[in-house]
Amino acid sequence: MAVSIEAKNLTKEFIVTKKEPGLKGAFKNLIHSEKSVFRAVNKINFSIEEGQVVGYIGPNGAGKSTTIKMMSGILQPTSGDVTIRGGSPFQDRKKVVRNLGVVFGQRTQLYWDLRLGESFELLRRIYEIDDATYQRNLGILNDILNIQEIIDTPVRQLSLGQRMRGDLAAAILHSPPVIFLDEPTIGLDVDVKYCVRQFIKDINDQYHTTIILTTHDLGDIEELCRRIIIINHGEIVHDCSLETLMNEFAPNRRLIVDLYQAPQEPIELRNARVISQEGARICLEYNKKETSTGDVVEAIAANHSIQDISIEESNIEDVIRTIYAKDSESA
Amino acid sequence: MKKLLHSIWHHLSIVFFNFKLTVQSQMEYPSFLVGWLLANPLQFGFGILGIFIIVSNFGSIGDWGFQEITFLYGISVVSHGLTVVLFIQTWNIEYSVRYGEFDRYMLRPLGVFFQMITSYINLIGLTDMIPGLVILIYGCVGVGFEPTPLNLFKLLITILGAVLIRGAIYLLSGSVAFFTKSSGALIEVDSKLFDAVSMYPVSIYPKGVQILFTYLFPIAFISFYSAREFLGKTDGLPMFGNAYLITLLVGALVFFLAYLFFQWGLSRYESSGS
Repeated sequence: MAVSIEAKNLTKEFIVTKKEPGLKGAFKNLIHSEKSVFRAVNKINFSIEEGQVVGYIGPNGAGKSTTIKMMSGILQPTSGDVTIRGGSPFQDRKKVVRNLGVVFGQRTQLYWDLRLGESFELLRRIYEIDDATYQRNLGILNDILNIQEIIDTPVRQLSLGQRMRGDLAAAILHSPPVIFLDEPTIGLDVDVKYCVRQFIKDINDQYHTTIILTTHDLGDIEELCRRIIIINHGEIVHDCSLETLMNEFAPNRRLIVDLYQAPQEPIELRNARVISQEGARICLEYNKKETSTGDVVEAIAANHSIQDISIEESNIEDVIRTIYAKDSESA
Repeated sequence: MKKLLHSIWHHLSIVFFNFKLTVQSQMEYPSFLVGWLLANPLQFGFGILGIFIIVSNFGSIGDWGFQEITFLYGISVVSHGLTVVLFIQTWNIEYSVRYGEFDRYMLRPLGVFFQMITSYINLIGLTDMIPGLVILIYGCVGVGFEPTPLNLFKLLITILGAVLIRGAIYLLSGSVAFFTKSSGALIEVDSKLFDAVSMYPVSIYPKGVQILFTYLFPIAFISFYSAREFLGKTDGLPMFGNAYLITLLVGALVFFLAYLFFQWGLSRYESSGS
């Protein structure tokens, strides 16, 4: 597999001026202001293969957008390197961005006062997309994002969901092999969210596009990304598959059993731990790798008659919250 | 060679399309255009009235009569109008730096400066051109300017150079925003300076000011040196033979320097927010 994106010791520092509050502070700042260096991204390393869909997640201010901006040639790294298909996005910007599609969920790349279609026409000229490719891409985009419906509407009159569809379409008109999506589902309703996820899946399937996705919506991650990179305080804290992460941080499964009759004595099992026992309802926890649910149910059924059972998988949000919190403590 | 031609054609096609888009987008707000169509002629009308009142009270400014100053002022206003049509984006650098607007240019496989300048060709600048041309033609008639092809060519080159000088100084000032996040006040100062220096003959100012605006901030070249050569005036200031060519040369040079400064600033661009 060819490497698509590679970061080596990638670092970005910003100089922050400490401003003192109030009018007195404002005058003080004029004469002397304290400057400090804030390291938004600190020596991160990763390598992403062609065709991978990677979730790049982390709490607000963790350095996600800064990384994306360095990868797309907007910000110059303070030190270290990043390459996209072998080229440096800052030194070789024009060449590298030709192969790049970027969407910032918070800010549109479209022409505010013009029809959506006119923004597309401009992009077609910028990227010198030939007629056949342009028509074909528009056709595909129409199938997934229903573009025809909004192509004649001025961008300022589009709803957030329509605008996002427009932005996504604009980002891939030139068939880029690498796409960065910075919070593409922010503020969208379930329908549009579904549509956006479908879009990401489709273009990855059809064109083997490499995609990096930042998001706070873990549903996006669950559905789209086989690999996640978690960044916090500018450093990568985890880089693995979602499954590995879940196994490591949430190895247990919960089983809730309703019996016909409340047992006389507390239940004790060899293969599962009892968390609570209230009347006829018993809540159990066990390691999902070591113990099968069937064995646990069997063990209870040996002495009691079961009316109903339900299984609670550990929640991905809880896991991520645990990781963020744990990392903040150690920082 | 083929590659170069292709690149030129590519850029031109974008300029044309951008121009079309900008016209369309400005037509979305027609009342805005009408507002300027009233305001700008008024502004320059009062400018010329001011000159008239001064000259009719004092007889002349320096040894320049009313019609001569009108000629000078005409060149200045026309070059102002064209600058505002072509380079108004330099006024917005401050805004673009603060709100991270350069991001979108940097994501496209074209020069950032090219995209910035060509993304907004400002039709409203044409509302400055109308009073500008009226004043210039009136001045030309008043001073007995002979409209021979050579003279018209000289006038055109002068205006082109003047546009480059104005554009360069706006670009230089605007680019300061890359370092300070703010440059609006500088742009204001530029506009005021341009008005003050290119509306009256520079020969009326003290020696130090003349040197400053000839060699350091070459605003005197916007209209003064060429107009004075056309009118055959001599004064204490240096005579640049073929002032129209010198004006173009100075314009090209300062524009190139301003462009380098812009590129340097851009390399320090920090985007904004998430």
